[in-house]
Amino acid sequence: MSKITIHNAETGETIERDMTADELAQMEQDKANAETPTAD
Amino acid sequence: MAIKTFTTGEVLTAADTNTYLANSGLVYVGSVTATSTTIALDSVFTTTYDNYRVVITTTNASVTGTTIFRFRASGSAISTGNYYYGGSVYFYNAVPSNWYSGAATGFPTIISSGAVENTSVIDLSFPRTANRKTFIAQSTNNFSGYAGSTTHGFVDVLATTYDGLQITQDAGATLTGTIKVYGYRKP
Repeated sequence: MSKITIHNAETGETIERDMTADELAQMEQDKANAETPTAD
Repeated sequence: MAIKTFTTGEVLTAADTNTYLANSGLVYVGSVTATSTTIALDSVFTTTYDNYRVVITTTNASVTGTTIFRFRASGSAISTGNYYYGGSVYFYNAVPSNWYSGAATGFPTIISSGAVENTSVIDLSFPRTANRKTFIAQSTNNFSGYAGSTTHGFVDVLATTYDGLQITQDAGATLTGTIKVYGYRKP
């Protein structure tokens, strides 16, 4: 499962949770848009 | 912070030390270290500083894809096609190339395809003001024996306020890395 780790600098709290549906959708869009230059 | 010139024989007080030495220059604001699909740092941009330095390091071997930087506001990533960028990409064994896009959903800060260690340094201004933002980023990549680097100028056109940032990998891989944020101390 894809996770997101979030640290809040104000409260000092760190949480790790599953990514939401919106976040997963964005990740899938990122995969579709990936255009990484590569070394030869 | 005012500038003070000390003279011979003058007593250096605790107050002066705190004001002119301990609190000078870059001030640590916050950091996060994690192994995760997305690594985020919230409540790190405040009205205390206008300008920030963000240092991102990732250390996991052979992660595919590109590390994407996004601003965050109130606990959510901003990805509304507000990111514009242009810059240069260098690999030790390839002709330098340009890398640019408009209306993108994030900034590519690190080309980490196959790289082992990566560092990206970003200087950005006024994340807490409702203006368009321009900033620069430079990253260096170690591909197990050879190097790559990018230098980019970024423009965010959303003209809103942000309180955080995050990195994620466009290939969906798990990142191991650290984000550190420093504020440029104001006078």
